[in-house]
Amino acid sequence: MKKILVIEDNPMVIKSLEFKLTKDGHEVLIAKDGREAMKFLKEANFDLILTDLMLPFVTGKELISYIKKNLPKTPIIVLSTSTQENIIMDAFNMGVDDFITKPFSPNELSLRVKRFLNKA
Amino acid sequence: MTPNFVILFDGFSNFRDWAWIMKINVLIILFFLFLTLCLVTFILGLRLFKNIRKSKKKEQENLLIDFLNSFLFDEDFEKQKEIENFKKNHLNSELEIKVTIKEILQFHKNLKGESATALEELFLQLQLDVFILKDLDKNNWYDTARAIYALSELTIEVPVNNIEPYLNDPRDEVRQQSQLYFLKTAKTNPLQFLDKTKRPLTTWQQIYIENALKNYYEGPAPDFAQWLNHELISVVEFSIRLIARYNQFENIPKLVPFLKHAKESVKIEAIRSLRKLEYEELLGLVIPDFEKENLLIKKEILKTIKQLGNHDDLQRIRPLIAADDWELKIKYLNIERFFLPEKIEQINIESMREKEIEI
Repeated sequence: MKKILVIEDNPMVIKSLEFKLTKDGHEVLIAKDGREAMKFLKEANFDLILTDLMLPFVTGKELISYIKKNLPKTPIIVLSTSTQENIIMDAFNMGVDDFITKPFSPNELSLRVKRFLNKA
Repeated sequence: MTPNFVILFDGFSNFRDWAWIMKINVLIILFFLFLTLCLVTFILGLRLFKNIRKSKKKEQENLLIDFLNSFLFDEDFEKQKEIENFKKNHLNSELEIKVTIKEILQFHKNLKGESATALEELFLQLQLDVFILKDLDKNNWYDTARAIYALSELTIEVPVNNIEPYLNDPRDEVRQQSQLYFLKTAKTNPLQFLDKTKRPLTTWQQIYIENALKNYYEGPAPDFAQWLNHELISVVEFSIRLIARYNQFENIPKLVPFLKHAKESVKIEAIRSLRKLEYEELLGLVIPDFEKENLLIKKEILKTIKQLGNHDDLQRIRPLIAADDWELKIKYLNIERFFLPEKIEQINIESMREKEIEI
């Protein structure tokens, strides 16, 4: 069972992701803000991180920098409402592995997650 | 204090014998005491009602999150049976229905693809559209606007005459939602509702329509020239702008007459659009009229020279700028610097000299 950390502050999206990914057979941990995510990242290892960019306390960018520095092999998928080209480019330049924009297709997200976990 | 109180208290039995001023005092005190008690009871009741409503809302929200997630992602979920159960047990009060509509909209906003389509179908299966249609007839503008919003978000088509009257509603918000409804549910000609529009389009409405046209409508772009003769100036201006936005070069000949339009805002929109469409003959049409135009149009003409013309075109304008019109002169010099970057120093010196003479 692969372990996924979901960092998201929208309760509806959290529930859907948790439901879908658990249904796909993954262990899902939820962090509702950047600070909580940092705490989880220090305590456990994850096979994949799914994060929003706009987060309370610690921004998505700061979080990505932290992950890239300390856990460089963990794939990161960004799930964000932002469709601005410069934000997407920035995220890829920082080393994220994939970028999914909201509204998102849960089936498509599930396939992308599966692809990264199989690679790992 | 105690003896007095005892005396007063003893006196209640002889209330009839009291002085009239004392009787009135006691009655007023009792009246206000009663009023205070009523008020406190009312506030407590209101608070209690609010808390019960809040907890029911929360309960329904939690129920819906589980129901919708199971409906969307659980393959073992017996959809038909569960939908019937949900309808029977959890859609009985207005609050339950409203929370359900809100949650489905929330899910729909965040999801796309098969999940979004499934939510649209679920909305109909739960017969929430019937409730929405009832909401449309309510007298509150926000109920109407919210109902139309729900229909357009979920692209649920209802008979045209249910929504059409709201295209000319006195409230901007209701008109805006009905415009978006027609646009989002259109298969072809998404702006056909403009034919029925009798109230001016606000700037926000224009922005929302343009945005929805770009993000929601998947069919071919309509020919925006069909609204160039609309009775509303705001619709004409909007159409002129959209012709340029959608690069409808074939409509250039239809835009040219608007350069002579009596209304300044239409004229400006026509210059801007023809400039964006890089209509080469535009300068030949606007420069001769430069002197008699107002400041805003003169500025647009200067911008057009910068984009489509050359230094010779600019020089044709020079004698037409009034000596004391410094705003235009500065604009003129900036464009001259743009055309002759190698002569920037010389232009600066000349302009300073000119300014000194003027002073």
